[in-house]
Amino acid sequence: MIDKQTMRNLQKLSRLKLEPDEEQSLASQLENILSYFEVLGGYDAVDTDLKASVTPEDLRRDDSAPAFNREVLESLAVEFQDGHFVVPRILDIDDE
Amino acid sequence: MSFPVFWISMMNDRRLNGLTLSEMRRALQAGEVSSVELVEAFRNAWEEDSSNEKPVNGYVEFFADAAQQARKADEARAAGGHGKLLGLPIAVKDNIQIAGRLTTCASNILQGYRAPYSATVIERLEAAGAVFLGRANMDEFAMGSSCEYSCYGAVRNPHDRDRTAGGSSGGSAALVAAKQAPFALGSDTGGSVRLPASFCGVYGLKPSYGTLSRYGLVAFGSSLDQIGFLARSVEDLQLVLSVAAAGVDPRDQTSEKTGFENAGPLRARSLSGLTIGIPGQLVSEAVDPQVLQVFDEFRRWLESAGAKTRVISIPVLDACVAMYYIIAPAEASSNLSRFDGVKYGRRAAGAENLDAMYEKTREEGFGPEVKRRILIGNYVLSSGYYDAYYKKAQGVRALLQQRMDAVFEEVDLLASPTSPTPPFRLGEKVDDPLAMYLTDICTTPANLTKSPALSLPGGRTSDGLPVGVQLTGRRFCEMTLLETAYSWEREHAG
Repeated sequence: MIDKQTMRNLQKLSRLKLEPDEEQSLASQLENILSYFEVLGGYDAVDTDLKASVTPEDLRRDDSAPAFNREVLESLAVEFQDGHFVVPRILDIDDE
Repeated sequence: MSFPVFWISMMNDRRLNGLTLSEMRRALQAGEVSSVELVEAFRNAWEEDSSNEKPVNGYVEFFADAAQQARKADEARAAGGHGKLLGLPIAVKDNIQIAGRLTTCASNILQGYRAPYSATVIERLEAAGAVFLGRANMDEFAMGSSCEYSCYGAVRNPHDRDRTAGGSSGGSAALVAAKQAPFALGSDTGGSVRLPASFCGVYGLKPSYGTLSRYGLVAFGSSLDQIGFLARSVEDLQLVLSVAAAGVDPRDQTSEKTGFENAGPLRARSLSGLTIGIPGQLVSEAVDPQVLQVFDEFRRWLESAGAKTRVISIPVLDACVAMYYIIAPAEASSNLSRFDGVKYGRRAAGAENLDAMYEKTREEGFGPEVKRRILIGNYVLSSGYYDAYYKKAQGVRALLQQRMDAVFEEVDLLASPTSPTPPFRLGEKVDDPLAMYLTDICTTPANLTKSPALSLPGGRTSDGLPVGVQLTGRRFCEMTLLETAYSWEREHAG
């Protein structure tokens, strides 16, 4: 059941802030889609250890390699200053 | 190969546009055409179509320097260069990075983003001399089955401009079908190369997971994504595969050594000795009768060519759309968390603090389908729902893999329609996401099992709409798919 609180939680997790009409229509669509997912209940899942799919042997060696220089990163960023990405205030005044 | 004199004399734009990539290659080698002439022919076709009341809208950018690239290729050829793709024009889906060029995934959130590096596949094609024509339109972040979820507007089907081109690589397929490009790169996470290939009446290959490096392809569903090809001939698919698949790429840990770069020229093969399974679940009465009719004709051809066919039941195929639309959004919700307005892309103005900036940027930057999938992904990964949805879907995916492994012990290939319907009307499903998702019923199994699959233009409906037929094989059996399709093409193309 996608109630208002669930939608609020989902938006928080998703870093999205939906308009009220958008929120309502998406909630109804999500319910419909989640109901369809119940078809999976008709199948016996194979026990899968999802955490075991990557082992240290799969990882590449920790070798140094060329990376982007600062100019490239700066050209991509919205705001860049003294070697840092600039973002809006992180802490609210009230929280300080 | 030599060309008759009358043929050469008729090499005007239209004639050049109709050549396959391999035919162009032979004409370039024979000195009968230049790469510059080829590029201009495609530019003219695109410009002409852009003034149409209902343009295809396949390009989001035709590169201003395409003719310059072509000139360099012509000069290289004159100096003795002989790259495998020297001077051959190719369109590129807008989610595959070419260094220095815009890459936007048809999303507002990536407006203005210029790729700081090229995808491995692009590097390999470039090293072989390919000329890049432009960026192809797509569903935003490759999420969609109709190419209507693009910030640049919908792609129209060249065969009926009121219908969709299929998605998400709809721009790539429509450009090839409309003869505005001879070949295009796409990407396929749940059918995004094969579905538009079917809708637009061209060939579409999704190689096995691991055949091509995804380095430089903007990530969507990392356990499913694969770069694929849209073409007007099977020979063209094999030609580009032999360049793009050349070896393991250390920058994509999932890439594998395939040996496809050493494959010789394609040969039409007898199909005797091949057993081809037809999954009953994908030819049920839920499939459009005209699609079934085209598929029946294909099945009869398989048998006349010597193959044995038999209908087999794989009940778990009925669960593939549900599995896919849990796993892909789960992966997407993680992959798309990088679009936050900090390091690249667009940032919303006027946010008071960091959290508000994230929310506003993503709210303004993402379109409706992307938001829907991010929400689904976060829902199925949430505490309390993880076991019921994500873990269950992965468990049923493992069951599907077991069943398909067993099926491929009994049959060499699977054949089915590519889509349960012919191309549908623009706007028909755009407000009904579940109906849109069910379009992918025939294509999602190959992504979930990491198999290669190919859509070939099997026939047409009574209204002249294209209908695709799909061949699927065990992992890394691309050559069997290509040879079978090539045999069909030699009897039916033209």
